[in-house]
Amino acid sequence: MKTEDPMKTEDPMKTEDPMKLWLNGAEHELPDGAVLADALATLHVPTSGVAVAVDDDIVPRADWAGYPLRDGTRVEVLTAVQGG
Amino acid sequence: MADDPLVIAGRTFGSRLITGTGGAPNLAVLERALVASGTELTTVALRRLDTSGGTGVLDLLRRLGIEALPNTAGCRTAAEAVRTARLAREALETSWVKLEVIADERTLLPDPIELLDAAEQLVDDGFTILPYTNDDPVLATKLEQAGCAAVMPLGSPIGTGLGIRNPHNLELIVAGAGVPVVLDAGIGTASDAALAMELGCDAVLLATSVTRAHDPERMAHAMRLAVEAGRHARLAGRIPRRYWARASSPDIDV
Repeated sequence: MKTEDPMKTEDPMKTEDPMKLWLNGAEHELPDGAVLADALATLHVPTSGVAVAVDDDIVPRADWAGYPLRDGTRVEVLTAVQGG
Repeated sequence: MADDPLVIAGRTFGSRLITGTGGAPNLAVLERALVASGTELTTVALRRLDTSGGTGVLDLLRRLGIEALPNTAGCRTAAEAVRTARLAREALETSWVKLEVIADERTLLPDPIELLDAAEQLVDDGFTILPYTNDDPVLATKLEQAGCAAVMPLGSPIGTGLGIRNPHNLELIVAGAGVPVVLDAGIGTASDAALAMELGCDAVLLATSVTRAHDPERMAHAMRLAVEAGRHARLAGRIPRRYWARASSPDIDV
């Protein structure tokens, strides 16, 4: 998509477009600047009993609020299920 | 058996029956089976959060006071298993892991090369590792040397219910092990669990034989009794096998 806005051509990082994420394999859109905690809130992720991986990083619970996201990031949220 | 606890990595368990939670038709059936089994430690798998399903099995285990033992089921390489173990540690706040590294989907047999590699990495990372292993005494020794807290040889492949296909290998593993030996996989019915204990295993881990039984609660109860009976028989010391009969009544003046 081409844009005529000169601001955007000067600084492509400063876009108003939402970013696209993969949350447990499904595409989601979040506002630019959203952090991991925002993404997890859209899934109503409980605060205990889950583990979160962003691309190849396992992100401890304490870091969710400050963990920045980028367009195209894959977020995996895992929990215990019956098995074994 | 309060006077004869199972001790793994310094932790004490009153029950020598470790259960899995897979295969139960629903949580209500699972709950009745877990209670009937008397287990204090039970495995769970790690999967994507289903926001509709929530964390039901964990809530159930917490309510029953049963420790959750995460597994690495489905992992095919050491790298996958290490990552899954680390995710499990984060999710369940436990460093205990039932380590499974499977070679192929048809047999679900452990891949010994990847298993040992994963065990070494995870022990170095501070995990308490309970590896699901082949009934191979050499591999069992190597896993123990790598620092595993127990070894968990199969009786036969997962979910087959074929029982203990190589009792002599199990005896060799028991004889050589300095850590607890847990018979893991292949149990079909109560006599298989009793045999595992009679052969000297310290505990039995089973899932399918209970969760897919016609009456899971009753089979769980049977397994509890079988493990206790087998343990008592092992400690009591069985008689030697003899070729010819030996009368058990006095052979004097009939």
